[in-house]
Amino acid sequence: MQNQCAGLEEAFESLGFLSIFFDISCGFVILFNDPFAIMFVVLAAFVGIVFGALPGLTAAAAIAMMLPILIAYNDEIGGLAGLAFLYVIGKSGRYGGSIAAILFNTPGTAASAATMQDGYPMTQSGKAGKALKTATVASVYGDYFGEIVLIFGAVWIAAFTRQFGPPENFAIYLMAFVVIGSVVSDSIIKGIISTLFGAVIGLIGEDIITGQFKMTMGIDELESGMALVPLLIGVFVISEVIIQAEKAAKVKMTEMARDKMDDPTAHYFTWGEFKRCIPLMFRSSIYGSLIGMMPGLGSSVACFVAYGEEKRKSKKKDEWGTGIVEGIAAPESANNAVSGPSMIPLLTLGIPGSTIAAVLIGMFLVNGLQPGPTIFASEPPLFMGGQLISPREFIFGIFAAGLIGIACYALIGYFAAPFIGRAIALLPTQYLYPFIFMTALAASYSSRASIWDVGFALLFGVIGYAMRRTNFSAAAFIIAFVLTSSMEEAFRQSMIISDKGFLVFTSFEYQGKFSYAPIFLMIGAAVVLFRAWTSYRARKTDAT
Amino acid sequence: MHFAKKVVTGVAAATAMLASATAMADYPAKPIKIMVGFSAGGGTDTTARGFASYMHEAPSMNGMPAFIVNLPGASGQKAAKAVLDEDADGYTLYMINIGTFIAGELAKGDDRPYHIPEAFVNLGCASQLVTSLQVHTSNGATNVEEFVANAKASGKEITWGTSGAATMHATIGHIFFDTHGIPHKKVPFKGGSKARAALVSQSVEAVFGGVNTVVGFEDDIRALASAGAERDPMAPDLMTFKEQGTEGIDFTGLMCLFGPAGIPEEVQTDVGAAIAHIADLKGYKRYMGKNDLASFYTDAAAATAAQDTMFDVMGPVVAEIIANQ
Repeated sequence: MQNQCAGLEEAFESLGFLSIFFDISCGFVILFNDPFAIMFVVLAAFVGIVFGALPGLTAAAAIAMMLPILIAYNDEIGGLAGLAFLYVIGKSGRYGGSIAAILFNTPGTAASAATMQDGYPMTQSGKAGKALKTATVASVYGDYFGEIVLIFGAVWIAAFTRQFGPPENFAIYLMAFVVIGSVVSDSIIKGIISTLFGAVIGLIGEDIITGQFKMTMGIDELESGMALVPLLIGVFVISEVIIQAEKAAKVKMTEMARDKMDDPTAHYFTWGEFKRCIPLMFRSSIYGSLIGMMPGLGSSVACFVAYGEEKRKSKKKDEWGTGIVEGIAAPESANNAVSGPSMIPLLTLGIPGSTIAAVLIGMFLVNGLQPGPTIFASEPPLFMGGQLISPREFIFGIFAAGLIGIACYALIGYFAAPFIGRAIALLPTQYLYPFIFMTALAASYSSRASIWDVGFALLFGVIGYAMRRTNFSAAAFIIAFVLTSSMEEAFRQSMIISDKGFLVFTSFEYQGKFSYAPIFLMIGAAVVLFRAWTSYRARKTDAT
Repeated sequence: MHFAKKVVTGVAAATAMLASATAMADYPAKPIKIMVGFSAGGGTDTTARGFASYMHEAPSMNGMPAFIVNLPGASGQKAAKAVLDEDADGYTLYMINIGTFIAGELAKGDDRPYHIPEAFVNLGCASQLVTSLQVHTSNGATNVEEFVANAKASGKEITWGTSGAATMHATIGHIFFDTHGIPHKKVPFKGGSKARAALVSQSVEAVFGGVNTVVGFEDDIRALASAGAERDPMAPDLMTFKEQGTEGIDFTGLMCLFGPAGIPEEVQTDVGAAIAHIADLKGYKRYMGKNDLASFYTDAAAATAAQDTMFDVMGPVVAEIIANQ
């Protein structure tokens, strides 16, 4: 594989192109030489849309259920195929949520909640086709924007983060914790409690330095820490099944007002509308990309920020919420623009920017890749599919899969979204959710062949249900859980390195080199203060 | 009646033996799991992945593949214990270099969770991990003498990283600093790749890690010396500690495949034959070469003898480290 890319390298060198163009071209070469990977990209585009469109189920739920299978058969299907599958599901799942939001007035995912504001009124006025096509175009625009940010940004940022050691890593983890805790939820207190709860669960297991076990309660299965798969399945899948059981009612697709569909443009997102939306989609994609780069902030935050900002900027504020294409284009381009950049903290720091990125860490490790500042180093090579490829080539293969995946869900979505919506509306939920429940239990068991993991999944299903009913953040909980072990490791290492105790985190120097740790701590503190101030202002405004 | 009972018992025993023999003849009948006690990207993981990729090509493996499961923690002991929890049927094996395996056990002292010669069977080795002293390229030292002189002149503790609290690399680090009377403090990381990242970021002043971890990072990392009685064939220009005047570091870590005690003789034979076959494959050699690791075969008997010797060599050193902690 390296040799195939070597030919490309010569061509690009002779043309004097930037190396990044060589990298992404090489990524396409690697992807197209792996038929399994291409097949899985197409499959992921479809699966993600369906899961995203199923009310309540999310891309994270789809990934949680499929992860054990992908890990078990990683060698058979190939590392690139497995990772590409999960990565593309994350993208198409975010898009799929808009189908449910537009047709059922139920956000398929939290990332589509803002899309309902204008999407559902359009459906009610007989313009469901226009709404769905607008969502598709905006999602694709935002996703490509974010992917380009990722492709050009990740290598550059990784070169910078190579300077970071344990104190900087700890400061970044701490910053991520306070940002997640204070921003991801409606309430700062609830967000912080969700984050701390995730951290407590993440502390279970072995002490990194001493090798002693802590908080295992004598359960051998907990000596390696709580496994991510049963936790994900519990929080994202089983809790949703409980909610559906509680509803005990079918979600019915809204009757489309066909008699009102005499407008010939009702099915189409017209060229004029597209041109009108371009500046708005561009700005929303920037919001989404910036939010995606912040660890812990995800699509749901991005869609509301974009919707709110564009509505504020609009000259026709009164029309927002009545069913206009701008009200769909803004949140949809923003929530999909999150996808690519949310990989940046994962690839450059080893810190997941979203729940999907948190799951991807496991898949990277399974394939011999340690996410972090040195992941783009050209060696050592990985052995995959009978070929030697470098980690850099592998990562760009994933990026290429992302680009192809967007095109796949664009085609599926543009031409088949209404049919998928109708098919989902016809699904008998009294059979569907019990089937999902049984699949979830099987997936919990199969990840480690442990009956304990089934118990943990059920336990966290109940906990996840309680969190959702009381508006505690499941995303903050999961990301904090994933980050805690590394944060503890960085803290302990910093303490050993330090001659100044805790001051190593506030000093601009350690080991004779410049430290960025205080900068990250200041950013974290600024975010919390800003959030507290905006909450205070909002309460004050409400009171008056 | 007595006769009939004997016949029934005999037939049952014969059937069981036949079934067992058939099962063994079919070994392996499913993919083999190779546990790795360190995170992805380090020397052990890299070797195990390369080895596993060729497992299905060994005639004694019936075309069955092997897959890797990383379970980092406690310098590889967590994964070792996980192997012992599985059935001794040859479908869960453990790859680690014997130096780190032994150091991990010794570091636990009386709390050791197992005694390797009793709990595990060494099935043979397909490579070796050679420890090296590494510094950042901004460091002025280009050899051991200069490193020691600079360290002593600084008058402070040298902070050094390694792939775990009680690995072969860590043991060699302790021997080195104590031999030269240099005050030092060790920073354990979860695997060689993370220790390397700490050196690249200059968060530690030195690292004791595999020679192979320098590959691809030559702009950032400089190896000053390698362990072993002879120079590492994959880094022939790198002088050994012994050549540079530091005694007591003339051992390397044979990278071996272990099974839990009680593993059937037939499995030992088949896996041993597979190790010999893979170590000789051109593709495997090329892969290992790309990672600056040597591929060579050491049979189970020779590997077990080397293992016993390392217990003798490393035992007193590790005991001293524990006593001084």
